[in-house]
Amino acid sequence: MNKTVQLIFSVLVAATFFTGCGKSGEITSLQQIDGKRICVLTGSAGDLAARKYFPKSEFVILTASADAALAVKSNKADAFIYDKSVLQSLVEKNPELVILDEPVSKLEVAAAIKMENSALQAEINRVFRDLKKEGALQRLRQKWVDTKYTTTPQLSVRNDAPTKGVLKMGTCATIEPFSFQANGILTGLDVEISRLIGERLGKIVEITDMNFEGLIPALQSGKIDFALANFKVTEERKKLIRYSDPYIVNDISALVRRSARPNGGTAAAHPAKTAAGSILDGAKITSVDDLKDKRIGVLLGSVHDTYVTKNFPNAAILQYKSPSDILLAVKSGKIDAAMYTYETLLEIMRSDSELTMVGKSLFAVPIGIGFNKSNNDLREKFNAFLRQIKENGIYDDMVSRWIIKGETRMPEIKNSASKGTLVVGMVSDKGLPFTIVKDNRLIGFDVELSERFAASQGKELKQQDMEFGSLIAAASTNKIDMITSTLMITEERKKQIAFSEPYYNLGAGVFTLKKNCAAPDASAEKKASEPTPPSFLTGIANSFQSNIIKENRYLLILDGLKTTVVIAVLATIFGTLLGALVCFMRMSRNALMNLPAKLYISILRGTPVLVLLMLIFYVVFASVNINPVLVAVIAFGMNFAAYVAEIFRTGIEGVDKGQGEAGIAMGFTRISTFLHIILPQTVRRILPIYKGEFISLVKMTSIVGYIAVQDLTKASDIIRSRTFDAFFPLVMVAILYFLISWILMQSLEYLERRTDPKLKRRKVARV
Amino acid sequence: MIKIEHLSKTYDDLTVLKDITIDIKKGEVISIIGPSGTGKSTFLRCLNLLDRPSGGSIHVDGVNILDAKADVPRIRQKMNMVFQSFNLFSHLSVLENLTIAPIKLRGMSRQDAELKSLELLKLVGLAEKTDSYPDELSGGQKQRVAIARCLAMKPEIILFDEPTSALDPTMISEVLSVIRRLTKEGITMVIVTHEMDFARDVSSRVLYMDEGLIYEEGTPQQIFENPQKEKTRAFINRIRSFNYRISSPDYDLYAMNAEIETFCEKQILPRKTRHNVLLLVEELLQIYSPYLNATLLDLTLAYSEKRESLELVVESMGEALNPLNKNLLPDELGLNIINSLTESIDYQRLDNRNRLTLHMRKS
Amino acid sequence: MEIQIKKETSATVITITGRFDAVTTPQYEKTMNELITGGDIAFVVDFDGLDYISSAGLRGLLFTAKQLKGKGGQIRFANVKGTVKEVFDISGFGSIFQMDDSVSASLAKVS
Repeated sequence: MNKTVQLIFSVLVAATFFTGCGKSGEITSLQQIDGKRICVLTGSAGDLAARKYFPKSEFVILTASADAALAVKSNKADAFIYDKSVLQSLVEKNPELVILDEPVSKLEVAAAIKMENSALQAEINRVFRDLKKEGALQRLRQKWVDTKYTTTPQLSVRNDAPTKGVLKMGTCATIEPFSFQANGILTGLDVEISRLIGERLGKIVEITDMNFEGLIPALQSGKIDFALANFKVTEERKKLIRYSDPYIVNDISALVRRSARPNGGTAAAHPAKTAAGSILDGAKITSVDDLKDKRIGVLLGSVHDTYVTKNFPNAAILQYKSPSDILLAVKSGKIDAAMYTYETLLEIMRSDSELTMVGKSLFAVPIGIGFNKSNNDLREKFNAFLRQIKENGIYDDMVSRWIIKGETRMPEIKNSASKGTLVVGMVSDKGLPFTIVKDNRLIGFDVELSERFAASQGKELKQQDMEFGSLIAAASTNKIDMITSTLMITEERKKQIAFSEPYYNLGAGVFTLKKNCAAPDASAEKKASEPTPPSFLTGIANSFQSNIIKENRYLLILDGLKTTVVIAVLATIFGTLLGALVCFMRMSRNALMNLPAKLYISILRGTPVLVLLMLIFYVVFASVNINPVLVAVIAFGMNFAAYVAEIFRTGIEGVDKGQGEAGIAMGFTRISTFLHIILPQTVRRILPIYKGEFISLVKMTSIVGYIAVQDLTKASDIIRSRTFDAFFPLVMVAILYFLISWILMQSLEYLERRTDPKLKRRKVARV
Repeated sequence: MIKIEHLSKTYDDLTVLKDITIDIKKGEVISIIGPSGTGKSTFLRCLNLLDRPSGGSIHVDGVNILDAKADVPRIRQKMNMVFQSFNLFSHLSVLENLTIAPIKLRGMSRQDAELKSLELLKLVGLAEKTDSYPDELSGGQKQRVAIARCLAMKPEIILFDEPTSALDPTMISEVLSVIRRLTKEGITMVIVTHEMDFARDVSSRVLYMDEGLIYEEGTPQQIFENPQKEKTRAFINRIRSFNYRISSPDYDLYAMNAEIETFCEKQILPRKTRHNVLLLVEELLQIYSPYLNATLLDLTLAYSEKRESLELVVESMGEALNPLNKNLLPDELGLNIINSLTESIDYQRLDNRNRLTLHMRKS
Repeated sequence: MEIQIKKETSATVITITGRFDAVTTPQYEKTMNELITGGDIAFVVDFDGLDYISSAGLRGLLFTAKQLKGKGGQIRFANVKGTVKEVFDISGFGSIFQMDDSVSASLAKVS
């Protein structure tokens, strides 16, 4: 090559070298390896081959193949050149790595023997010839190298041949599948061959495990008689040791990182679309069976969870708390595929072009309406109602509109609402076509079902929005009359509530990103339909539009905000007053007063607020119709009081006792001494800590969704379930929480300033 | 004004006050002296019920303050207390410390209270500190503010609980002078103190408390110059004298010197006197050194009011021995020095003891 | 007691500061011994920084002086003042020893 080309080439090499991190060396063919960072194991044949064929590269020298794989994975090296069979085990365990098709070279594997020991060489060669004739070598190769085993095969040869002596063998037990440790024992192809050698020669083989580089010196010094360690035959080594005939011929290949895009282009700028971990190149998902060793997401505790756990034992199963979380995980590549309600998925796919179903619905689960066990009357009425609408075609019309066509219009349903109320529990972010919030009202198949049923009974419909996990508890304590939330009928649940006749059969579908699928038209379609990644600002503007403006979603947020503030402020006031009382009792010398106080403080501080909240709502006020906001105020207030009591106590005890005595000596009563002398100093002292606890309280209120209070966090959940945009609503809600805390904090700081006596004087001094 | 009868106070097993009976008349200035831990402060704190007596009665202007129906806070407003640890209200300025009680308890207007308080602060010499806060003041200033604060309520009786014990020597006099001035105002005062000179100066009556009782009482002259009872005498002497025991010839000269110096400082003796005391002691001990193997030596250094001079007494047990005999000494150097420093040297033999009394020359 | 030694042409100047009492006299005697054994025979002792002297110190001075006399040496005292001077006077040392008002005066007088 002429000088200019050489120069350009070196510059390019240097450039690729230095633009390393994140985007470096996306290698898709052997030629690209030269000049990059290659990992090799000291003295191995891979080492020799790499240096021979890729002389311009930088070499990262390690001692174990697992380390080398890690280096490539974490971008400390670009390729690992080694025995293909070992690489194959690595690739099993590291889906982000892939073996380039073209091998670097082929090499033979043989036993290594001391140079002078031609006798042993002859004996071993004889054994190998026999084994080859018997086909044993091929069988062994099949067993260990060619099959991608999932559980380590057992050694079939016993090592207890009648003793004509002992043969000492050396190996390096870090090379799967040749010589490695599994379940605490040394095993592998080389170990099995060593046993065969021992058996045929009538000797016991003693195996010593050592570092690879130590094997040749050990041979030369006679510490070992022979070595089996996936030894490649090389000219250099032949100068030092004697080789037997080869017992295996192997490829030496290169292990590289899987590139982000099949066509090797640069990754897109849109954060949500960067697929950091798409699935194995050589194994796209063509059918549900392909999931067996992938990462699958499901909704925690759902029937899909149970199904996948049972049927895909080798897969990595990740459980999420909400459907939007599952969506996010699939789209960001954290999982390869997920299983969810088929009907809901259909709905989602309508608006999301990145996703696709894998196969058909796997199984059907009947869903029914949940009733309190003792409410047979209502249940019968519902079953009758269901039969009726099935007969008169309303049911079919509903299915057609909501599920098949995906319409979102709620029909007008006349209801006299004169015979009482019907309280229905539902989950507002379940998703279409069943339940969703649009234009600030609940719509969906389930919603229409409830409305029609209520109308048929002439009862006013009251919808209680709650967390999925609380529905059953609510029904069994009669807080709600029925559950309409695509509740699957399971044996477990039948123990706690009674179900109506099933009103639908929900499918279970598996979905994944289109690009994870094999269909060639899928990628073409993707290329065509994939929008140009929007710029960051446009992205934000879009998010803003869809999350806040569209369908007046900001009203949801304002409502939630109001609720959060109300709960926080009321709970604080209640908690502070209660805390003062508890503190007073705690500091009394009378055991009747201070023991209950101490007990209160330790119990309330040791119980998580969520538990307290649910206890009060579902147990204490079980059959009472109480406003859940009030329950929240009580629960948070009680918890806050326990901390406030201790804070007060520390503050009071921190004030010098002598000042109290001075007050009393002057003629102040105990109470006025406390009010005028102790309290002002206490307040000053404790304000910083009190502020902290108060802010904690504000943030703690985000859990009230569990008792069906729609606060700021729930508002964000609802929006998320519509837009499936995780980022924007969360960030916005975080900002709002911060603003609430900040504003309330400012008022406390104002109080702090007003009670700082010195501040008054400093102001005066400045005047 | 205050009639105390058979007052007693017990904490668990410990009886701090056994049986106190005394009348405190209007306008009296009573000092209470005595060893630490004998209940002086407890007695004082019982008078205004900061501590509750276990037995006995206390009548203030005819009202039994131990009665359950007594309006104790109101009664307390007639008294006030100055504490050893000042106890100023740290969240209030100096002025506010003074005005808070008049405003809140007497209903005075803020303006009146501030005017009166300002006068009081002038009285104690801290008028320019009205807006300062307690943590900005020195110990002596804090105590003066505390006294002014006491006066703000125009009490009939002020109780002082070791008012100068927490102050370092430089500030003691400023506080004592304030208290001294008060005694001329006709307020009844009860002062627990360790400042003997002061107590002698200002008191109309002195109580020596020991063993949970008023062990001896009398006028300052009686108590300080002519204590009748054994313990009183011992106490008075002890406060004014320095004791040291030499038990071996390897005594630590410098350790003893340090203690002598402290004693001299306490008595505020001039530097020359201090030097002479040290020299005298060293020369004496030098002369006694051959005998230190066989006998113990008790040194007592006392300041005699009568003679306005220092007296050094050296006592030893055993055989009759007066080593200041030039025939017994290798040279006269030490003896000459001793003679030049002393006015008189007496030797006495009492029971089995040798007592050498040296009166130092006035320097 | 602190002892500083300075060798001048006509004599060795010993500056003593602090206390000259029963505890510190041995230190003085030892120092002087070493110097005399080393050959020095002419000394000037500067008392300027001395606060205190007792009979023990006087004896120490006497001892050294006698030592020197035996060797034909001499010793002069400079800056003896204050309480130290009083002690000298009481014990009659004022007449036994050669005393000068300053170190230079002493050095000049050393023959």
